[in-house]
Amino acid sequence: MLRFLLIRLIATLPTLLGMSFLAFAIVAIAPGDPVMMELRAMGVVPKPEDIAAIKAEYGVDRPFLARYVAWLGRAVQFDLGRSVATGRAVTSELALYLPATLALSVSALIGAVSISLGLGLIAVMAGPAVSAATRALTVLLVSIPSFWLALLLIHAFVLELGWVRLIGDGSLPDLILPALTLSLGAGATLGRFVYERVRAERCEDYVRLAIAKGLGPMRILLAHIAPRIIGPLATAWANTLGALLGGAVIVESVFGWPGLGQLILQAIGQRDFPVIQGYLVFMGLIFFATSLAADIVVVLSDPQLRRRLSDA
Amino acid sequence: MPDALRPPLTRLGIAPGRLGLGLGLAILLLFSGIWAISGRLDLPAPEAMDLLARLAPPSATHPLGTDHLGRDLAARILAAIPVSLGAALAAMAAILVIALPFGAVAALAGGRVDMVMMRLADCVMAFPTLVLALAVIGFLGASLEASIIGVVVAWWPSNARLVRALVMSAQERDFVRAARLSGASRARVVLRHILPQILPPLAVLVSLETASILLALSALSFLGIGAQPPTPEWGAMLNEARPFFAEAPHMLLAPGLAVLIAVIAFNLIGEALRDLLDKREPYRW
Amino acid sequence: MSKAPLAVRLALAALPLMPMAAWAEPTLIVAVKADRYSVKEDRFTFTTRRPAAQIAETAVKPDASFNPGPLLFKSWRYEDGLYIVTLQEGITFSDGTPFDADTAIASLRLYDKNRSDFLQLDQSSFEKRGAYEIAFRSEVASALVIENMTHRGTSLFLPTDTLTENPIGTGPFVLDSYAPKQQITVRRNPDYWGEPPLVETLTFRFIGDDTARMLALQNGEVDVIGEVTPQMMLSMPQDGSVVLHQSRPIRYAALMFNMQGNAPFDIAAKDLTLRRALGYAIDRATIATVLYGGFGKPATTILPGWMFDLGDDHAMGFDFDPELSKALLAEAGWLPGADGVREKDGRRLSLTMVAAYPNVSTVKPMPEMLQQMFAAVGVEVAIVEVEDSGVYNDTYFGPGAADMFLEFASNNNTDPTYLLYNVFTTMSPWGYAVTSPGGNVDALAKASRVAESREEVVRLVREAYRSIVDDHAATIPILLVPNFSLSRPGLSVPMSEYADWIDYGNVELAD
Repeated sequence: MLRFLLIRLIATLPTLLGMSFLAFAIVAIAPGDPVMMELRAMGVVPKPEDIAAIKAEYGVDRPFLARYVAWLGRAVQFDLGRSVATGRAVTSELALYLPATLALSVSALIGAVSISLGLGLIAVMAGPAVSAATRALTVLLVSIPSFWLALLLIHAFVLELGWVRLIGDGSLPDLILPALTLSLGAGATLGRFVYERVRAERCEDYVRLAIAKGLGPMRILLAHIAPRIIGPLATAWANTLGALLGGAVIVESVFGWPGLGQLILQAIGQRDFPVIQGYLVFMGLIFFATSLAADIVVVLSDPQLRRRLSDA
Repeated sequence: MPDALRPPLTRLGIAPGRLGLGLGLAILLLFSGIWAISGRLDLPAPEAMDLLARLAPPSATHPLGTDHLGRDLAARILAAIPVSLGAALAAMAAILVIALPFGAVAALAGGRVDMVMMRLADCVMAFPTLVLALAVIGFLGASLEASIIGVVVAWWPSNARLVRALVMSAQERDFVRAARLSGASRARVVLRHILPQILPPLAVLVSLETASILLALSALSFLGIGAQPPTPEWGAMLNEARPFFAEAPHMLLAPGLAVLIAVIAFNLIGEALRDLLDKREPYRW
Repeated sequence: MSKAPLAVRLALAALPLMPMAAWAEPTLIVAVKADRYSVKEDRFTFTTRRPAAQIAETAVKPDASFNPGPLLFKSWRYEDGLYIVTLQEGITFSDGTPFDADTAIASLRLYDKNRSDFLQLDQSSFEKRGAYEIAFRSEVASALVIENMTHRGTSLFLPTDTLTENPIGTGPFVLDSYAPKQQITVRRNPDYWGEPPLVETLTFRFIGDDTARMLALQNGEVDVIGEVTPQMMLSMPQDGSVVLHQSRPIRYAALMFNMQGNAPFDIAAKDLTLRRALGYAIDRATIATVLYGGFGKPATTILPGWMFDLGDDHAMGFDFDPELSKALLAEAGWLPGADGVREKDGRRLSLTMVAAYPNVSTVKPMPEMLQQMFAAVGVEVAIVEVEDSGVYNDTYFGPGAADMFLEFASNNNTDPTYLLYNVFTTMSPWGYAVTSPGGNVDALAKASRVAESREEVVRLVREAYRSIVDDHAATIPILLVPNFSLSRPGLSVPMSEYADWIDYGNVELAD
């Protein structure tokens, strides 16, 4: 297992490198100079030597590749530079917003997994009419624009019923609406996936064998089908978590949720290059972490694969 | 299978898949039909402002009401059909132009080439799609074209991966191997044997992806960085409607429903095609 | 993160039990757009700018006509390049340190560390002339140093090692707590030297989304909204649940033409008649009724008449006269084409308009309205909306990649030459050569910077602004707009034309 982990980690190194290069390059080619914007906002008339000094400070007077290498060297020591806008370290900026985004994404994931299992299993197990209705509901939820859903929910629960506050401070009750918005869409997408996987497994011979043995549907589902689909499901969950962490931008902005989505929207607006780079790298790392976790689950849940790995 | 156990629709000779496909296609036809005759409907120009009738609720003169500048919402929603759907289809086409050759070459070449190409796709996929699109648009300046480019940049790698998977599995089929072993040229194998096989699943992919791209593009317009005013576009209309959503919810409802219905149409078609292609029947318990 | 709200909830629960205590310690929650504070030492803006510019005070403060008046500086004189200042006596910093010649010099010195030092003080020139008298020179022999000290960015802090965590000033409030990007709270300084503020604790909550800010006010979650966009005013509920407060008009919304004339954006540069025709095509009264809650004023001038006593009639500007506009276009050779868009020598009269500096939400939906008005006289306009001043400057304005630029800005400085020099001359360090007429305007601006007296400065500035509008039509004034804030009913907010100088500490809580 350790060996597998090691190989898996080494295999991702080139991708990590490529990803970091992309994150750096995207930002480096962007127009807009945060320092000049700040100077102008302050009402300062900069002298050429001031500008040169600032450029030297941010290293933008050096060639592109040299800057990338220097940046990467610091990044591996968790030094992503300082935010131009706030003067704080990018890592502490990320840390400021991460808890809110984590809380939102994890609760949305839990919601999405429950919804998906509910929708998927009802679609598989129930009678034809209920099954068709469930699938129709799934299509509806997959198709609903999240920002529109968010506005409808705000209209209903904040304006009409007055059950929840709009401007949360990150406490639990404020989490309900944004988490619900996110989990409905993600849950439906996952539900579709659950339905497809279970349906596909039900076409396999081992299911026919189990039916012939006289096992009940629940038993077959839990004892035979579940172990086989847990791997792909884990991968899907991991991808969903990654997508929720990064994809909550719009929902966060509609609800004013103080998460990473707000950070990146602000950073793009303010041309806060170190923050944009740091955010992209961080999201890339999350992506690799979640897909690694999924791979481990896949290996653990597949006895054959596990054996092969321990033999090798 | 005893007749009584079949789903009621199947008994009538209508598979649920076919129903979904029919419904999805009907919606798209409806959209294009309405757009085609919209010139003949007696609606004001989508940009025409009537500042005295701002935020008017639906009425006989304005069937869907007016917006904050007194523009007729019905006219704007109809005028947005080619913009919103056109942008999604254009983005999908551009994604296919990149993803098809990329995925196919990776799958056919295999080995190192495949690995390098897939790692390249992975690098892009590591970033959240919407944020990548946001960053690209942020640097290009907001416009409908920029948002299409942003979406293409963010969405092509996952599609390239799927195309690669389709080509790989097609390659493994016995008759493709046989064709290759019998000395058929590579181009012939690809065009005559592999392409026809991947087309049906590709149709499913295209349909479902178009749905998600439509959502993404409208989300970007909703953030105000997609289509530029006064171009009517559903997401942009929602963006304009947002400040008024307490006092004029009608501004929010109609464009939102338009996006929802269009996305449903593509999703229905995709799912229905998949059902129809999946010949296997699950064992009944 | 969740401690504060708990405390708030407890406080609310206790409210009915002790109404007296609640009145004795009024709290005010102000919603503002974004946390723009930098704690970086060399670009320190933490609590010096709005909203929480309550901890430290500036040396002088702007009076009603934007002239500097006494605050920490009691009086000053400028002779032969030397500023001699008498300090206000009896002031202490909030930690008890007295404000005198030594601490004043130490505070002023802090600004040389700062990159954004626009006071340009000569650091070696500081001189203590008495316990409450100091002297200094300008690095660049500027006669306008005191004028620039009205900028909140020049607030005087006591130099301490913990400046970025706990800034110490002489102001009416002291820092209570700061949760970056969420909120900042200041509470009354018990030892404040001046009139104590009415409000005991002031909390500024950062809420980025316009709609969310408005809903939070309607929902009673905040008391005041500090940053109000025209879209918010369009959607302002008219039932009295939200009250608008405004200053005198200060900001201009104006259309600036590309005067550089690089193809394909060269139509307007060579064609004064065309520019004037567009000036007459704008129905300012209608724009004024739709935008800014109807509180904007149709403008004939770029700066408001009250500022520096420029006078309301310092430029004639343009009325709304579509017939004259059409006649001028025809005179310039632009004749109606087949689809209603005018043409000359086979070229369509189609212009690109970039909206807006600093971002499009400050002027929405003006671009669409202008487009309709120009279409009515046969001019086609393509709108580019920009949400971001970086993109505005780098992609469009800098390279001159449009025919027209819509800007929403103001002279937020008591230096009358400041905006003129930086935004309307070809010497502009911010790239405004693109939209500047040059020639006589450049000459006037240069002369105004070295003029002997303030009267002469203002005379030259007035003439320059007149020429920009009336002679060159290089910039077309559209509206003059006040500063706004919104509050729940029963509050009175002491407004200021300077957003940094809105006195939230003295919001009156009427019963």
